[in-house]
Amino acid sequence: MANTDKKTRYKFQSEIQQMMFVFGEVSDPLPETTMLVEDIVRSQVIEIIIQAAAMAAKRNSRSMNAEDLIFLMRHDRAKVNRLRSFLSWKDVRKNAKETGGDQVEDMMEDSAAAEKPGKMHRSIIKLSWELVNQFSDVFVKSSKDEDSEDEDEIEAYNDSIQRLKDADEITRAMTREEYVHYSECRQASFTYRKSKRFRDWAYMSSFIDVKPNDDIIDSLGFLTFEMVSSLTEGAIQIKTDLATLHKDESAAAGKKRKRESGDEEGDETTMGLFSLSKNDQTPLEPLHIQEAFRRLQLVPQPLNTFRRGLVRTKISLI
Amino acid sequence: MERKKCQVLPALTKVSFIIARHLDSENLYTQFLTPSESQIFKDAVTNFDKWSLFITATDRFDTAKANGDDELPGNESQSSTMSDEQVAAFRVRAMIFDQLVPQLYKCSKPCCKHSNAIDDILQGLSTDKYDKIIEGSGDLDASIQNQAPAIVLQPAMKTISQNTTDAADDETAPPADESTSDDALISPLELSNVPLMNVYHTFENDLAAMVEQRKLEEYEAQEEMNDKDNPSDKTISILNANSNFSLKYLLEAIEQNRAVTKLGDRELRNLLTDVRPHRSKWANEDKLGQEELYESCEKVLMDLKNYTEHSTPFLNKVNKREAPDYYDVIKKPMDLGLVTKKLKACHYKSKKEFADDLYLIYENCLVYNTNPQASEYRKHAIAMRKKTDKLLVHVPDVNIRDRADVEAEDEAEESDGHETDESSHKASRKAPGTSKHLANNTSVEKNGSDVPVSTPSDPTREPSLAPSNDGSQADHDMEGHGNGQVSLKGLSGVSHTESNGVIDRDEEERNINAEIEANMGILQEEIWRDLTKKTRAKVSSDAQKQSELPFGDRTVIQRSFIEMKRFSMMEQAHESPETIRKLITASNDSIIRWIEQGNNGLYEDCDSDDDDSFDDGFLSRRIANSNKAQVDDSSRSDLFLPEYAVTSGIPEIIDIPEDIPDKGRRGSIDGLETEQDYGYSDVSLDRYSTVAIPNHGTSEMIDDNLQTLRQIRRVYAKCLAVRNDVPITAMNTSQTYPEASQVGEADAASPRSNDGASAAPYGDGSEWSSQVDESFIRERKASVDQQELVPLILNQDASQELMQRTVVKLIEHAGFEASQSSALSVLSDVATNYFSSLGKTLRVYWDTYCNKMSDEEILTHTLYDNGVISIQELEDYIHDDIEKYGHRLNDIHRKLTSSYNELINGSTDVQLGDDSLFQTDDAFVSGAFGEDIGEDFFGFKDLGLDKELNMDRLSVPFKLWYGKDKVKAQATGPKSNEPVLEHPPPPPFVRIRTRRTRPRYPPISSKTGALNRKRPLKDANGENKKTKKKKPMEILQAERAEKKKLKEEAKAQKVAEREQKKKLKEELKERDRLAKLEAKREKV
Repeated sequence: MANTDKKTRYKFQSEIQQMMFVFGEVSDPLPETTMLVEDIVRSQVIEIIIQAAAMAAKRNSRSMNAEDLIFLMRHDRAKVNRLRSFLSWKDVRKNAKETGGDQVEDMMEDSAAAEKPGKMHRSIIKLSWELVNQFSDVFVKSSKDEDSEDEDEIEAYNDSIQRLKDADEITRAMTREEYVHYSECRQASFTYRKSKRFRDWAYMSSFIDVKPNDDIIDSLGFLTFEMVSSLTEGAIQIKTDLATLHKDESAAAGKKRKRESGDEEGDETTMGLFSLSKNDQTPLEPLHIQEAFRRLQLVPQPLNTFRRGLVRTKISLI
Repeated sequence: MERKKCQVLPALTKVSFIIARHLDSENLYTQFLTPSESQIFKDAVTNFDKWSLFITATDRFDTAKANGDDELPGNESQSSTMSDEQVAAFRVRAMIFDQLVPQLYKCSKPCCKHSNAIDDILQGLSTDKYDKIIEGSGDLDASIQNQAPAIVLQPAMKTISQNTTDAADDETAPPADESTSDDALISPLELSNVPLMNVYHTFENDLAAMVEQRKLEEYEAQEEMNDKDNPSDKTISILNANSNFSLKYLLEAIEQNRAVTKLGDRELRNLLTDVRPHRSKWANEDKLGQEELYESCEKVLMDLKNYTEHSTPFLNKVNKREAPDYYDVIKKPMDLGLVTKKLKACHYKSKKEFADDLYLIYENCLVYNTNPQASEYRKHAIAMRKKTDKLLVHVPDVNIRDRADVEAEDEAEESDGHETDESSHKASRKAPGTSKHLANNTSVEKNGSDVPVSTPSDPTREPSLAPSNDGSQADHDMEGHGNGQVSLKGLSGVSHTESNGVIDRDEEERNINAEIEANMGILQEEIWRDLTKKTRAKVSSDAQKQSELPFGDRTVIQRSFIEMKRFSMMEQAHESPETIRKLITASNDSIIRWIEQGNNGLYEDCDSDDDDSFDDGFLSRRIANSNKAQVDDSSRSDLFLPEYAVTSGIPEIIDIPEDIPDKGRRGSIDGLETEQDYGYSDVSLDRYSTVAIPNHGTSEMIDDNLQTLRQIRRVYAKCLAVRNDVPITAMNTSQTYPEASQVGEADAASPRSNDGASAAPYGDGSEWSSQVDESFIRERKASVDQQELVPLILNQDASQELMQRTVVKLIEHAGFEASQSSALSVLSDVATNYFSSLGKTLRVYWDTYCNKMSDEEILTHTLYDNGVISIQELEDYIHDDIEKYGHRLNDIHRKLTSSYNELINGSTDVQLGDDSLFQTDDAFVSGAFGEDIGEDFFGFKDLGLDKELNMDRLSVPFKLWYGKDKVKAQATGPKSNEPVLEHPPPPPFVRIRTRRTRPRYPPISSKTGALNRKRPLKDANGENKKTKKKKPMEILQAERAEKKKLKEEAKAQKVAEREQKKKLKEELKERDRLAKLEAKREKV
């Protein structure tokens, strides 16, 4: 009974597991942990949808668009940049599909090879609240416009390059099978080809009347990916912190074997014949996730300093 | 104590001797001393030995008195009798001390001359002596305090003597002194002085005055009613007969004899309230009705207690031993003892409360003792209840209320205006029947009204005294004196003497004179009260009425020019009571007249010049208008009483040096209006270098960004104008649009904003207008720097303004062009709040952790608590929101200028065809219409311009209309690293002050003007077009030839100018092209 209930409630266990693996978790994390992550992610998604819907309502439109989503996280520039470039690439892909070229698919898949962006014409979402775009309506599109690259894009590009490099670093020592597994995991997504499942999972229909378009779903998928990423990374950080705190007693070993991760501490401690490998990593426990979540929620409210009464608490978006 | 005094006193004696000599020579002592005393004083002052004896003798006596024993039996006889000499010595000392008072409390007013004389004397003394004087005076002060019993008398005595001198002169035989002549000079002055200014008044009598006045009015109302109704219809019930059962028999008697008396109910009641034994132990000024209620309640209580047959069980509270469960059953125990206690503690507010408690006793009894047969107590209770019922009938049903409340209510009831009351009041006062009431008021008041009756004889009886010194002065005094008398008479005593005719007038006078001697001071006050009663009553009732209202509805306490003037004049003229009296009684109009007449040199000539003009212009006329006017005047209810006109007062500001107010205060004619100016300096905060926004760090970057932003806006506006095909004439308005941002920026600094706003409309070329703006400001700054700035006061307002200035800057940086001031203040409040909480947090950390944390840690913690999670965020802010933002802005600017250039040069020609141009009313301006008919309107062909510029059309090239801005845009744009222009652009045009004189000839400038005029102009164009097309060629040509001549002459100048510009433009274009080429090359 409980099992079926769980099954109906948690639909993205495997995806989460894969994502967490990509971000440094063991390949088979505790089910409690993944379920907790899924709960958190779902609540976040719902919150995002609600707020974005409110945003759209403020614009007097029934359907939300990507700007509504971006507006919610406008303070996190890096994320906004990533999201924008993600969307622009998605646009590129769509256009390419319409024109019907496989080349684009290749390009997307080979993005790890760090192909130089900007060859294709990409339409980048203009953020209406940015002053820059206030004047753009009079720009004459001239062929000699040399400055197509925005600083933001450059930043996003550098950012993604960095990520890819890190991934490259991780995969360097992998065996072939491991690498295949890893790259499979890397493609895990909440929404890719299962947008219906995603919508049901997030009870989207009860928050918005109009069915959100693919862009929205995809950006939400992107955001969930980011959520899992920040949760996992935060939790791992916490775990290592805790481990250094209780270093003496932390010799208690986990049985799960982690594949390869270059960032383990050195082996200066005694290493017996039958002692477990240092590379072994224990899976994250729910408490780590909870702590990570707590930290992410902990946003100081400057204007309430010294006058904090009963204030409505808000979920801060990860 | 004694020894110490002995040490100090010699010096003091010396000083006092000097002062005394001075006083003697100036004859000032006569103001302080009685003739006999002044005789003693004169004797003593002849030489120093006598003087010291005179002074120290009293001293010795004083100490003896202070010791209060029989140690010095020789002096005891003296102390009991208090010889004249000693009294005189006291008074002389008081006088001398009085002279020293201005030394202790400096007064810088030009009018206080006496102190200056003393000042001179003291200056003459050497400094060490002066020090001693100060010491001595301090000591004297101490000694005076020590001898409190003796000295307490002094003030009273002084006031008495001040007036007794003359009074004694008048009536009793004056002592044969040489000082009498001097006294005579002073006496009229002093007399006219009597009713007014030299008394200290307190407000505590105002309530009484108000109530009295109201009674009077009520009484008059009653009087009117009595005239209409038949008084005999009234029953005694009006008089509250039942309630006043202490007066039961009196009331019955009155009722019986009601027909005999003529008195109305109201009068009777007034009489009764007077007659009733006042001031019982329950009486309380502030609790109306308490006396009445408690009196009767007490009686009831006593009666009940004395009803011993039944009352015994209820006298004390129930004993628990007798009835163990009594307090379980009875929650609110009550007994007569408790009621008495509560009564004594004044717990009862009304009859009902009292009665409730009494009935509670019986109720409790009946509740507890349920068995009707067995219980004795029930019988007792029922009997007591009956008795109580009976007794309570006599208790008046009064609710005790606070006096203030009641009076406020009454005030509200009296809705009819004061004027009608007053007129009726005056009318009825003449009626003989009313005088009794007046007489009955109080005995004190009788005194007050009697005195003036006796005095009018004074000046007439001794007319010879007056002209002794200065004729006009004396006349003046006499008139004033006479006025005083008449007015006094008019107010209170007219009918009095008639009705009280029984008493012999002479006898009365004698009595009164005796009284005058006894308590002149009190009398003075009485008179003052009497005179001003109406005014005070009005003022206080007004005040009360005001206090009823919610604060928002009250009338504003406002300073009025006239009142302030009057107040200050009174301040200045505080030495001449005559002037003050005039000032007090004068109406506003006359004051204005007076001011107009003698406004030059008010302070200097206050006594001489103004008095004269006052006399001539105002007073004499008044006198000519005879008694009636005087009565009117004095009984006017809007006397000016400085005690009440608090708002008119101007505090004396001593420590401001003379030159600063001259600079800071403008238009200080007589220091009246300047008070408002003071403290508010119109100097903008911008000019203080200490609070200037620093020109380094982020502020500089922000400034740069703002500059770019403004340029962007300008270019953008121009782009829009070109693109949307805005007519040339409308460009003016569209060009002023970017200026709004500047206005917004300058909003906080008030005077600058004016500059910005006024500079904006000139914006022919908006670029230079801003330049001019800045240079103008710089100029102003420089000019201000030359002057001295008023020292900066960082008060709340100033800091608010500073914060707003910063906020404005940031807002503009965020891309807003203007903001509402309310929004601005909200934002700056938020910012203030944030910073103060930042400061508070820092403080808390500092206080608690300064030992445990380093400064950096504390700072980081503080920042974290206030939302800055890490220092990195601040860096990010600077990097992203300022630096990058700046880059981005530059980027936009570049893009905008390039697209603007394209708009102007190339693509727009297609976009803006001839037709579209022709639709607008610019056809004439650009000469496009000429092209329509194949005519070179401006003569471009003749000039060879068409070949030179490769024009395909004969109208003014489109880019020229907007081209001027392009020059600027390029000059200031980021690409402007080209070589400097060979021919610098022509100097900016002379600024034209008003738009009307602008030389451009569709003279439409303002929006409304454009709207109004556009229609007809367009129509005219249309007609012109049609007619021209219809006209045969010859006529047209003839016309054109004419026009051409005219226009060519007119336009020659313009064309020349344009030519120049065209050349420049060409050059620029070339340069532009070169630059672009270069850029391309670089790219490649």
